[in-house]
Amino acid sequence: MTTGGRMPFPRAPWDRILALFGALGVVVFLVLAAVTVIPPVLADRDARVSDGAAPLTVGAAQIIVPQGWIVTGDAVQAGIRTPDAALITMVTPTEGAPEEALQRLLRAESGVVPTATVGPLRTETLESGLRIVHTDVGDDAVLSVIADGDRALLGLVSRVGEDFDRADYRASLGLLVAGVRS
Amino acid sequence: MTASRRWAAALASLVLVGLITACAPGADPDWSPPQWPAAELAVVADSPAPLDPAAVSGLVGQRLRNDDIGVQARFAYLPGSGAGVLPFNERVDALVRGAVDARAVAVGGHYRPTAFAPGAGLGDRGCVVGSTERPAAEILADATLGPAGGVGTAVVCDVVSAEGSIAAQRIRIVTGGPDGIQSDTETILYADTATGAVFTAPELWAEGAAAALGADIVEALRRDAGALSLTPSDGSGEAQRAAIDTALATTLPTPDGALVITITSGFTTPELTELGLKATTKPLTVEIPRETAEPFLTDAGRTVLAAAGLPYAGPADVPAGADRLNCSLVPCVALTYDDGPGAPTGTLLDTLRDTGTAATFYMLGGNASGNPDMVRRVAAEGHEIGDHTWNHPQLPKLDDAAVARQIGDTRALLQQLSGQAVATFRPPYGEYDARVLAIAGVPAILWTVDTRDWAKPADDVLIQRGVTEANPGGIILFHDIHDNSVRVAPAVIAGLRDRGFALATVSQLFGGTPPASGAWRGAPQP
Repeated sequence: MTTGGRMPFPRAPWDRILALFGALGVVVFLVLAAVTVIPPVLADRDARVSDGAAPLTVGAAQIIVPQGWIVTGDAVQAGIRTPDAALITMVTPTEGAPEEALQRLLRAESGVVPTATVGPLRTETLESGLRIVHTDVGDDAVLSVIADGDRALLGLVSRVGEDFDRADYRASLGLLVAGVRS
Repeated sequence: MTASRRWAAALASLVLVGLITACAPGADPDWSPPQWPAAELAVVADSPAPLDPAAVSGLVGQRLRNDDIGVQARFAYLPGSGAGVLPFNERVDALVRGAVDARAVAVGGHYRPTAFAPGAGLGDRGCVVGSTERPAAEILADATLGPAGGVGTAVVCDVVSAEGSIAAQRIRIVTGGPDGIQSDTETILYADTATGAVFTAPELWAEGAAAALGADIVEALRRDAGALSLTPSDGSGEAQRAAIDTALATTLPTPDGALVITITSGFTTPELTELGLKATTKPLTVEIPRETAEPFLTDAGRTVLAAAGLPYAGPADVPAGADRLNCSLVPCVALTYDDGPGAPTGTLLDTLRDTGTAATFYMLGGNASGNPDMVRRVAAEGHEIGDHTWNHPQLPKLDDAAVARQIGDTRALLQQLSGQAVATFRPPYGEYDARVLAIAGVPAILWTVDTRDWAKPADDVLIQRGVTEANPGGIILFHDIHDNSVRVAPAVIAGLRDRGFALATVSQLFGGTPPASGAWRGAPQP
C-alpha cells in the first residue's frame, strides 16, 4: 500500500511576501509624510508669536506685527499670518517706484498675462505717512507695495485660505500695514 | 546596519519631526479678525418718495402761468390762515414771487396774473407727484409744468413730509430752455403747524454738521472701495464740505426716524480719487441714523425727527373761502350770487362744496329773514355774505332814511344770522350815487361780467358768458334764485379754472380785505 498525501503548503514564502509589502507600505507612507509634512514644518521651525512691540525688520523697513500674530522668516522674506492662519502675508523688500514695484509683484504672482482678475490700483496714505499702493487679485489675494514717498520699501502678497472671505480680513491687513515704519 | 538600528533611526526621525511640529505655534480657530468700525451712515437706493398731495388734508393747490415773461408755477398752501400755517404759506409765496419777479427782470417784462382762453387746460393745480425729482430739461419741456415753449422759469413742488405736526414742501425753481439750464434751485420748507415755526432743510442742522457727516460719508465710501488705511477722513476738504452743505438742503426724514440727504452727482474727494473712485455719476442718497444725526441737529431738526413716523396731525381742511389766496400772484375772479337765498341756493352750495369753491352771496334782507338757516349754512361753508338791500329797490330814488334802512337793516340781520361782518354791499341794478355810498358806509361792489341769467338764456350761452368774459380781478354776476345759474355752476367753475382762474370771494379778490369805501367793478390789477 502506498501512502501518499498532499505536499504541505509553502507558507513561509507567502508570509515573507506579505511582510515585504507591509514594510513597503510603511516606507511609502513615511516618505510621503516626510515630503508633505516635514518641509512646512521645517519652514515653520522659526515661527514665533508677535508680542506687538518688537519690530520685525524686513529690508529697510520695520514692522510692528500685531500682538498674537505669527511671524516666520527673516529680513529677506518674512511670512506673517493671523492667529487663525486664515490670512497669510509674505513680505519682501522691494525698490523703485511703488507702482512699478507693484507691477513686478503682479507679474511674479500672476504672470505677464494675469491668471486672475486684477482690480484697480488704489493709493492711500497710511497713518505713518507712508504710502500704500494695492490691488485685489482674484478672490483671495491682495498685493500691495508700501513706499516712503516715491521709494518702494516692501512688497506684500496677502492671501486668505479658501474657506475664508477676503473682505473679512481687510481690516486685519489694514492693521498690519499700519505697523510698517521706514 | 542591523534591523534594530534601522528601526531606531526611523523612530528617532519621527520623534524629531514630532518635536519640531510641537514647537511651531498652532492656528487658533477661535480667533476672530478685527473689523472696521460699523459704518454709521449707509448709502441707500432712494430718498423717501414724495407724498400724494391728496393724502395731506386740506392742501390748497395753486398754479400760475404767464407767457409774456415765460413762467409757470405750481405750489401749495397749507389750509386756512391760522398762525400755525400763515408763516409757511407766506414763505411759499415769497419763493414763488421771487422766481416770478426774477424772470420778469430777466426778460425786462412785468408780471401780472394772466388767464387764458377756454381750453387752456389749467384746471389741474398744485404739486405733481415726483415733479421735483425730474431732470430740469424735462420739467421745462413739460407743458403741464414748464413755461410756454419750454423757455423760461418753472416752479414745481412736491409734498415731502407730513408727520405729526410737521408738513414739508419741496419747491424747485428751474430756469432755462432747450439750449441749457441757467439755474436750478431747490428749497425744502418745513412747517411746524403746532407752533407756526418755519424752517428750511439746512436749518435742521447745527454748525459743523457738514464736516462731521462728510467725514463719515467719505469713510463709508472708502471702506466700500476696499481701502486699507486706518486713517479716517477728516472732512476738511473745501469741495467736500460744500457738497455736503448742499446735500443738507435736501434733508428728509424717513418713517423709521432717520434722516436722508442726497449728494448731487460729481461728488469726489482726494482720498476717493486716490482709491481709484471716479466722481459720482448719479446722486448719492445717504441715510443718517437718528443717533448719528442727533448731535448735529438744531431744535428744529430735533422737532422734525421727533415727528418722524407719526400720523399727520396738521391742520384740517377748511372751506375754500378760509384758505389763502394771493390774487397778486394767481389770476382771480369772484363768483357772486345775488338776490338769495332762494330755492336753488342749497343745490348751489352743494356744488360749491363739492368743487372746493368759495363765492360771495349778496343777499336780500327779506329773503334772508325767510330762510335764516340757509344764511347760516352759507356762512358755515366759508362763503362771504354781502348786503343787497332788503327788497331790491332803486336806491338813488329813495330818501336818506329809506336808504339807511334798506342797507342797515339788511346788514344787521345778515350779521346776526351769519356771525360774519358784512363789509360790502351791492346796489340793486348797479344803481348808486355819492349820497347812497355815503349812507351805506361800506364799499359798493358791482361786477365786470353780467351774465344776464335773469333773461333765461340757454345753458351754453350762460356758461359761455360766465367763462369767457371774465378777466383777472373781475366779478361775475349770477343770481342764486334762478335754476339755470345753479345748474350751470359746475361747468362755469370748471371752465374758469381751466382758463387758469382761482375762484375768490370778494374780500380775497381785494387782497383779503375789501376796500374801505367807494364803488368797485373789479379789483385793481398790478
